[in-house]
Amino acid sequence: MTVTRVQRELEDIEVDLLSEGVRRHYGLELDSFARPMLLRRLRQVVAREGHGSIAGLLASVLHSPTRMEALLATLTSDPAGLFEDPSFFAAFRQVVVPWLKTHPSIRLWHVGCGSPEEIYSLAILLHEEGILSRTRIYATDASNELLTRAQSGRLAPLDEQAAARYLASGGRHELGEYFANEGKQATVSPALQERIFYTQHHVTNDGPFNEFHTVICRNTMLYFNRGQQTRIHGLLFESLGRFGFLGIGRKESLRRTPYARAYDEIEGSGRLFRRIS
Amino acid sequence: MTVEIFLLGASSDAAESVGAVLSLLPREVPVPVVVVVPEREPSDELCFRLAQYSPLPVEEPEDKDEILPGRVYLAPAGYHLLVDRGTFVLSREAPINRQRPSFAPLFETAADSYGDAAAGMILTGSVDSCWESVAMLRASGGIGAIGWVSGEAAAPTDVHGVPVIKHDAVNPWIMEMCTSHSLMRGRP
Repeated sequence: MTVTRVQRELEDIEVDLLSEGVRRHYGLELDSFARPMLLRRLRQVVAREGHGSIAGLLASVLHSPTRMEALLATLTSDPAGLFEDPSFFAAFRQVVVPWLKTHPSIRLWHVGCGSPEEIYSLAILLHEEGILSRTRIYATDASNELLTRAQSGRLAPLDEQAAARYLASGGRHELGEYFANEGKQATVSPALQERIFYTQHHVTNDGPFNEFHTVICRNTMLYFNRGQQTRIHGLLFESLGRFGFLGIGRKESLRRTPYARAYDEIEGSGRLFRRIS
Repeated sequence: MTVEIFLLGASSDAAESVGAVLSLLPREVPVPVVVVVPEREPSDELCFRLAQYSPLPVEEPEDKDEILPGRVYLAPAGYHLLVDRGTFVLSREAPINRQRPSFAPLFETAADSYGDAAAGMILTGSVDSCWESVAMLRASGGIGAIGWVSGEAAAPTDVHGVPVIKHDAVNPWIMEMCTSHSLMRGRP
């Protein structure tokens, strides 16, 4: 879509108004989002839902909590496959699992439910390593809609690529064993869901709620600007026990945060860090 | 006006031209050069291959990395690359026409945050939808053109108003964009 300079100036005003309105009415901070990503997604929503302008979208979300829920879900979810970046899961098996096995009960935090396939992949891995039954996976999100979606366990039917990634990650069975196919969608096995505890938590506003052996936050922080990312890293650091592991996305880093020195990066792991202080 | 960022896209039929273009750059360039080649596998070695051609350092940016002049940045596989005047933003939004990275998110956000300080070219050998990305740059006052690198099909003069630079004029055009601090308005 082609945007002229005048339209862009108006959009800037409208985004500010939307942020102000959403903060005052719903307590959500759109200011903490990465601006270009926010703007792109708002334009897509405006075009798809026919609001005419971001101001039109503002009117819609202010008067409808359901619309606000839907917008938040759109802004903080991305399609993902099972076992994406298989090297991450392979490293998790090799490095994190042996340490987790030394604990009688394991607490794991998965930050963000915008890509539930990630959570199911983790549960499968822990099941195959024989420790899922003594693990509680806390899966959190600010969006109720995304929590409900993840809780439903429904996802697109498995494809060959997913099966190949599963094997590349060190999978020991058949990926299909963990899902029931029902026509145009698959459902994750209830036995895996039993150990996942879906909880609403605003990573941008709320504080720590437990101490964890491992925290996984892959690609969730991409949505936010630098200041907010630093704040979230503080929260993750406080939520992690000493020698606990932190997993982030392949193109994310701790470099610019005050916590860079508090962690050791696991070589060749595709972004696994261990808290050392 | 001053060019502050140069975007270089290459469709799959023109990916090999990127190395040739980079090899002609001088050792010091006053702008960042941001390269997007769609249809990449995470495991490909494009960054490594381009570094062998380029006199400038080539890297794949990480999320919220600062954009520095005199460097070549390659959009990483599996992410869309966006810019926020001086800062990269990575996004995992859905592939566009099965491509992630793709041209549109980069060109759209460069048009938003750099306006008339953005210049860009997409190297291609066919009239496809890539003109839309270049048109976004031009609509906000930036400089943009399609670079025709096909040996087979004849170059059109323009695609939906986006000028097409013929094969032998592509390299000089890019050199001028990347090395001139200020440019006269009114050129393609």
